[in-house]
Amino acid sequence: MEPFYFRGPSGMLFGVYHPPESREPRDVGVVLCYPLGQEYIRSHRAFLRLAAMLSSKGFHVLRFDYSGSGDSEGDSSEQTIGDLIDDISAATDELKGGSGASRICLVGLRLGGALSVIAGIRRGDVDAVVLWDPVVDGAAHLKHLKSLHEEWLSGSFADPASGSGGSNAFEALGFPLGGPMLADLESLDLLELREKPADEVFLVTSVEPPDSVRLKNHLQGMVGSLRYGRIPAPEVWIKKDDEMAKGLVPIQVLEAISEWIEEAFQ
Amino acid sequence: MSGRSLPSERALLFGKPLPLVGVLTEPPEVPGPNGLPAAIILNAGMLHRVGPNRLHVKAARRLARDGFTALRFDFSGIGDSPARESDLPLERRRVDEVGEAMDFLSSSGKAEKFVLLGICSGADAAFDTACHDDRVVGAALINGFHLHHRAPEELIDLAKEGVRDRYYRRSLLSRDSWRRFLSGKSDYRAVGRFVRGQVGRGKGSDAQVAPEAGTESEWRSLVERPVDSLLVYSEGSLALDTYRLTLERTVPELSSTGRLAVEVIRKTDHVFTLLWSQDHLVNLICEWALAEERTWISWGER
Repeated sequence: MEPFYFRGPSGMLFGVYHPPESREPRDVGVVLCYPLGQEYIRSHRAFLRLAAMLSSKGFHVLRFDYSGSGDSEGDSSEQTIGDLIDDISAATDELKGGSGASRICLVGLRLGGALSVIAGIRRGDVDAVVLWDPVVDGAAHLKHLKSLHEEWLSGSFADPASGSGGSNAFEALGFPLGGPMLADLESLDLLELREKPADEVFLVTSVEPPDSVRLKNHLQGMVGSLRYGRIPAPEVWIKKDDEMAKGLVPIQVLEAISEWIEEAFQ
Repeated sequence: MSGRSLPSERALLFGKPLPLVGVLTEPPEVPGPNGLPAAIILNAGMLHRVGPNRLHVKAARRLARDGFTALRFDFSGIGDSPARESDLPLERRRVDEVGEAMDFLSSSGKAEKFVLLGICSGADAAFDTACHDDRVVGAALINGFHLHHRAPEELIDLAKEGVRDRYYRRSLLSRDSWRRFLSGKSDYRAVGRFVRGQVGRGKGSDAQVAPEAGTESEWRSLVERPVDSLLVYSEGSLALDTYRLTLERTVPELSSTGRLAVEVIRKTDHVFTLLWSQDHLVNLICEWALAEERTWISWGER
């Protein structure tokens, strides 16, 4: 495992490269695309585990933090969907250049799933995409974040009206979202996309909101091969007032993802 | 991988037998050692080194802008650092690993003295390390419990009672809470329990549990050594209640030395969810560090 910084379009990005740890390294790189904000914090452990599983199967794996997220440069209030997609592209180039892998798979959780789809469409050279409980409708996602935020504050000592001068930023469980990002999310709708992100797609959901079924129907016929998996598992990305919840890893989902990637690149 | 690094931030692997993963944030221009201690920020619970709500990143960057080198790293088995096999108790392993971070920063010429920062269990690890390692000259301990060994059940029960009481006392004074109460949206049964409890108790609880002797003597030796400590508590943290039940009565004596300061941030929760409270916390830490800067430099020259 090699932690390092690399240059992204809007600043330095933090990444962790997991080299292949099997006797037969594959010519395939897997870029793991985190969700944002609180969901990023909560899914870090699961991504680390997934990276280890994939590297043990011979894949080159790169986990990276978007600009304004994790250890990367910037603040989340400056993020836009366009910048984050460019970050995925920069990470993909970094992995290809550094490892020599010629084939690429993107794996994205929640908003990272939506970003992976758009990045795949824009690049045109992504071979496979895994969408793990992806955000399909950005406006609905915003409502969901707002509701979780209010629920978290309700009954707590935290008072949004306090503080000097107050803030106009949209706050989502400890993370600010700027105006451009809010506008981007309001208009994000994967069901309106008319191009395929990759030839092979695996859509896996832990919960089954109607959005995922609609996305499955939308992608059917558009991509060469689509697999849909419904694997009941804890939504580890949701903030809970429970210390042990932070350590949960949805192992069944991770195994399904790594097995599908192995099959897709046989 | 190319391994290019930020001018002010770079990824690190250090320590043995299995390396720990960290990020070093340095002031934009460092001509050489500036005599300031380096800040080391410790994991809060199981969250990786970015901290709750990315607070550790914000604190490290702000400290670097103020001239301090800051290291955030993951303890073994947390975040990106691999688990290590050891028979030592967890608390002791944490102290040793902070020691490895200090060794690394010393051997790479970044600093000889250190200030530790931690939230919740990170504060406890910072306190333990400060007690064991003379290289520590300052500690910012946020919502720490500082209870050695297993805390007595009685203490935890009293602390929980304390936080409930404070919450309902605040709710009773809030117009919104009354509105929720009258509209049936409030947990009126709990409010009722609180009111009955207050009536039954007269002036309210003044219960106090003696701090464990070891902890109190360690605080005294920290002050005498000296180590500058800043204790920060959120109004919504159980840590505030354990502090009030244990250390608070000793604080006037310890504070008179000028080596211990205590701040309570009202209207915020244990992990500083709201942005204003995050800014407030980071400002508090950095202002404290800047105020102590000259003292720490002079200690470094001794």
